[in-house]
Amino acid sequence: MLVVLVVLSFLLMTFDIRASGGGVAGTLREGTQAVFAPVQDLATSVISPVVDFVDGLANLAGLRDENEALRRRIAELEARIDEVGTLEAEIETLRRITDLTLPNESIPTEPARVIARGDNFDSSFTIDKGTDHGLVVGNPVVDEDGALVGEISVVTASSATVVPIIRPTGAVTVESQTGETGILLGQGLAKLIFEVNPAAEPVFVDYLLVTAGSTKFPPGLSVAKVAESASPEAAKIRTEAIPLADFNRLKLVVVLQWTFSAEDRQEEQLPANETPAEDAGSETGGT
Amino acid sequence: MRTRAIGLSLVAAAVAVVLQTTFFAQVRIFEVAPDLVMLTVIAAARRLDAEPAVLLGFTSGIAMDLLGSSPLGLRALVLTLVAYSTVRTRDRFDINVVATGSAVLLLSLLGVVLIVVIGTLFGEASFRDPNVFRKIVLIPVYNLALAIGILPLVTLVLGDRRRRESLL
Repeated sequence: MLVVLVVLSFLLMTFDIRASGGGVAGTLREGTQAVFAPVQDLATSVISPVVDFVDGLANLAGLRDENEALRRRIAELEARIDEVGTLEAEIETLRRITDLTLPNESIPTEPARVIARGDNFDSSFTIDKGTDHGLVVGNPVVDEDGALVGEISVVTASSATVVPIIRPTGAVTVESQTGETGILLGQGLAKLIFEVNPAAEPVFVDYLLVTAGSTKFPPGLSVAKVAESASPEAAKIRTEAIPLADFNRLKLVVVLQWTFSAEDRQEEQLPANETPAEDAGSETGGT
Repeated sequence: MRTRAIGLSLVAAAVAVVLQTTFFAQVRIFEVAPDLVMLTVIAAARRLDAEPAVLLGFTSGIAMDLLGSSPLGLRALVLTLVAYSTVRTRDRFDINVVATGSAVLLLSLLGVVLIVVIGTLFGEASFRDPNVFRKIVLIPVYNLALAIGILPLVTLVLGDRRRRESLL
């Protein structure tokens, strides 16, 4: 039994990686998510006050010298303040989402709530919107400030899984302030690798990197800032960049109902034999 | 009785999966959360027969894999091995509280290290994560702390395996 399960696990991993999250594994993921998403949604609603309470207790660490009655009272008040603070933060986030101005205002948007996340070693997360709201696999996802977060990898009727750009398999074609096009590579952590090849101009700290327009993401979305200045060496730049989105704090996101189409290709006025660099498959956020 | 225990352990694992992906997605101390699913598998594997125990590990792992974006089968493999290790060692560790606590700590450590190592082999960037060592240390510690409540609860729900065996 053990040997069978171990072999089965290895086979599943191999097939899943080879299928890049699609195929039977993708269908299974959709099915599982369809079953779990309503439960997770409900659990998140129930758990949020508990989380606020836990946060409130955590904030009491500096009040140990107070007497017990005051502690309880402060805990209650802090929990309430946290609840109000959470609500205010959500209102502020919603206001920012409402006021969000995207480079291309013709792209329809759909705000969504983060209802579940992977475990300690999985940065993907689940949102509470799906095909019922017009979402499809590949739709880009941004935070409330319009910074690129990732793309939808699995979608069900009422939920979707978002694979963030920081995933090790993730790559985004970006343009720096110098106008040069490069690629941002996910590292599975809070930093990205920014590569420009060929590079003519140096890049400096805090240079903004925006999507260059590709089959994966529309142009002009802010993505990251350069973390370390770098000059071209052998006509190549490789440095670190910090994503603008805070992946640990995301509670609300905005899904751009955009997928690359023939019209986009025509608008880009590319020659017939020229495709964006990432069309070759280098830009991906898949499993 | 055994069927009931297996059914209840599957329900417990499903609850653990939901809590792991919702509650512990928000409550993280030092940016690390306990691995409740792994702890539930350990707790249930102490009380189940060998085959149901490893199947529970596999099923729980597959559920976590299907809800995330890491390679399908990664956590299934790890939790299967953790369940198997629990079954193999439970008679040595189920002698007193300290031994049981040590077992939870070591089995959780084994599980986390396996996730990191096998994940890295299959394209995950676990070793490049600057918090990886913090996670390797803290997850077993958190699991140990949670075990104080989870292990007696699972024993209460599933019953004592040795008592069942003696009745048979």
